[in-house]
Amino acid sequence: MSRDNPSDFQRRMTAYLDGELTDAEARQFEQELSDDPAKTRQVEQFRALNEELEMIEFHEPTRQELRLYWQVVYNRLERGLGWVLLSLGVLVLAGFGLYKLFEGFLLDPEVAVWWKLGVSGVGGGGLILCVSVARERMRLRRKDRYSKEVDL
Amino acid sequence: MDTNEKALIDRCRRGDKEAFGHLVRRYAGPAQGTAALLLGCQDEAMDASQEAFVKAWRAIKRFDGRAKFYTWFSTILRNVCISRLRRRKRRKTVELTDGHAEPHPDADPVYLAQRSDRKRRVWQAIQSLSPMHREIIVMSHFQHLSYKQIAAELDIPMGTVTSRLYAARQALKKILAPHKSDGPAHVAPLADTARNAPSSTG
Repeated sequence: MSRDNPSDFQRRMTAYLDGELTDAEARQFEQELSDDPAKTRQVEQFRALNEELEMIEFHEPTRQELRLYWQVVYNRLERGLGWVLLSLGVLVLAGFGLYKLFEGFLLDPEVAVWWKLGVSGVGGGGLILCVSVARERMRLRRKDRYSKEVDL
Repeated sequence: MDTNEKALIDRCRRGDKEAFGHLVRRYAGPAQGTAALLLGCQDEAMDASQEAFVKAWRAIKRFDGRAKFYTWFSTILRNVCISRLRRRKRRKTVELTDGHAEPHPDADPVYLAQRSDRKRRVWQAIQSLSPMHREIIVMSHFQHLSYKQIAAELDIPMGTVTSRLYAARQALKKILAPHKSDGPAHVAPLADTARNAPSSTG
């Protein structure tokens, strides 16, 4: 791209204002500005905007606000362990339930074949649908950066 | 990283929640403010920042200490906010235009330290940017990341960082000076902008 291209100037201006140009590039850019009042004006406009942004400061919460804030975080940390235990419990119970279902229902010769097929169809179909939806969600997440959950 | 913070993180790694409480209280203010800017909605900011702290606690053992805690935490916070924006859009619980939430023009920026009229206008202008532009403005001006760090965080080339920053600032400039086609010598004074709620995007 030519150095005379406006978008090239705008990119260099942005880097200049953020201190991202090398000393030599910055000097060259300043030289370019000294020859062109319109470009100088543009730089000053963006400099003024940057200065306004730098003046924005976040509110510092009061001690009372911080106490309540931390209390909520602390409660969530405690609940995290609860959720892990609950999930593990559900997994164990579900696994054991499936085993008992297989043993006491599907292997039972007295239960009608049609009854077994029906129950197997409902269970198997539900499982396939769940896996399919989960796979689709995973695919979408990989495609769109803005859908990414934190990955740590 | 200062020694005090390093000591706190070492205690956190050993499971000391009180040590983590010190870090939470130290960074709650900027975390809420950043979340409010990224989400374009201050109502969700407290909840999102708290969620980010919970995720940080769960991942603290993997924090290698090379960066400052808040720099590391900022990545988690941004990801939490982006996930929420995505969910919000999917569920359509908030009216969205062109992929971002319209800010409430009269909403009081509760996470702004000094609420002069001009600062309110700038805050609301940032909130009315697209999520992509808000994100890069926050990373550059409020998290003070270098272009190299932004490029690494967003997985984009350095040239794209520069272009996106320019586009975001250009959009901000337009929002703050809605009636000036080529921009004013300075960003529009309050008298020009106070009567006009932010209406466009970058």
